[in-house]
Amino acid sequence: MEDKSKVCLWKISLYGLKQSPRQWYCRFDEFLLKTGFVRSGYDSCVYMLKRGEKVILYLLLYVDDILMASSSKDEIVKLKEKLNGEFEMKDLGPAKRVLGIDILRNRDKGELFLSQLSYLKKAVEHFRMSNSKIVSTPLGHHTKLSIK
Amino acid sequence: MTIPRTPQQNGLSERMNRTILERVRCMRLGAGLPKSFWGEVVTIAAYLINRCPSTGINFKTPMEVWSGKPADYSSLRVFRALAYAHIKQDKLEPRALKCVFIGYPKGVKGYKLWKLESSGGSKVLITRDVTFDETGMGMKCKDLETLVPETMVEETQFEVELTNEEKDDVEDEASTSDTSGTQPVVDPDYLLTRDRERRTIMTPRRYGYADLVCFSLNAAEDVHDSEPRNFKEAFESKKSKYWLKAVNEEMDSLEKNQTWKLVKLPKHQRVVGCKWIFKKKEGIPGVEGPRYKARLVTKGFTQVEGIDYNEIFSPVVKHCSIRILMAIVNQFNLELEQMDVKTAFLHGDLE
Repeated sequence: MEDKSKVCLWKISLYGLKQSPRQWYCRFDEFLLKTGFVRSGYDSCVYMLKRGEKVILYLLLYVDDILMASSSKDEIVKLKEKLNGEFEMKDLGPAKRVLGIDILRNRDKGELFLSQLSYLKKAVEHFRMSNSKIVSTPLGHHTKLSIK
Repeated sequence: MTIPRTPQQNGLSERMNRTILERVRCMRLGAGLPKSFWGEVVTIAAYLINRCPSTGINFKTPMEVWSGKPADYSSLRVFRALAYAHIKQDKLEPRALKCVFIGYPKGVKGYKLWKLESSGGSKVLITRDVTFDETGMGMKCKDLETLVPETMVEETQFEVELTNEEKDDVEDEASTSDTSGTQPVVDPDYLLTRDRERRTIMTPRRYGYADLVCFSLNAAEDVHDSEPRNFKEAFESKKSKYWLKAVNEEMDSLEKNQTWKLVKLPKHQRVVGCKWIFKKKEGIPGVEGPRYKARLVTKGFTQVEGIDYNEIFSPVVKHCSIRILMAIVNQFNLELEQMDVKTAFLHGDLE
């Protein structure tokens, strides 16, 4: 603090820097490839762990959100341990909400629903319209949208 | 606005009245109808005026100007033409009723006819199924007059009397209005605008006392609850204790991870500034208090591409990838788990 001529040289990336997301991605990508994952050629945020020809684990990355899908629970637990050893992680358990989309599952019936109800509610609240009256059509049926 | 009973100030409509009345007079006399038909004649005269070209509106018809479509003349008929209205009576009765055409009914497409033969019920018939004979002018006036009910004739006489009275009235008025200018105004109808009591002018109530209180209460709530925008605000805010604690936590974690070292600034190089961001996360009431978070961020917007960085990328999964994964998960009944990386960006190595 006394020496004004000195500046901080950051060794690691920091929030707000333009290159931060890329640095993070490079780091994570490197780790996953080392672990044996294959990156999808279609989407570089989709990773697959293959055993032979069969994919045994899918991994989706959304900045710091990770979604894992596998037929065996053991594989997921194994991966979680590996990730915990490398990064500071927070386990959220079975996925219930991704990017504001609610995931409703009924495995007995083999059903899976995606819902943005809570997201919409949040949006309505944000615009302070949660107490507004509900109208079946926001525009009157007579409203003309084109000149013709 | 005009002064009551001063038609001189109402030239436009008075001139129109004259136009209408001139036509009414001609049409009524030409058709030989009794005076009691004046209402019908006025209506049809106005109907025709509205469909005649006018110089005032560049030889367009008022109807065209009003509705945007040219006037339709297909339904025009000669006033007081003989009309045979189709009616359904007994099989052995005549199929038509002899009538006189007296106008166009309002609101519906058809003709208004005056029955010459009594068939019971109303004398007026509104119908569309008519055969017109426009060559002659129908029956003589006398024939028609005999068919007008007696009460109506009386009414006509009464009307004549009334007009005489009105004449007297007008004369009276003329004599009084001459003097009314000098007399003090008593009649409320004659009250002039300048003589009226001035209404009390109120200042807009926008900035009234009540609203000020309301505004300040709202503002106070906002200020009380808001997150500080910079370190100074956090330091001076009421919750500075919590904010400083959050700052210290962040600093500790940064120091613990050995995130920086102090160096001498090389010449001709700029420094990217940094600032604190404060966030208050509302907890669950009763279970968990609100959490105060502080984070040190850099002002990335001061960075220049090519000098400070070369490539940027954001690890964002495609939306359809998520959907496909959901489909696979459901199809093969897979386990779906979620994880979150704490301080993800701090994991990246900086070059």
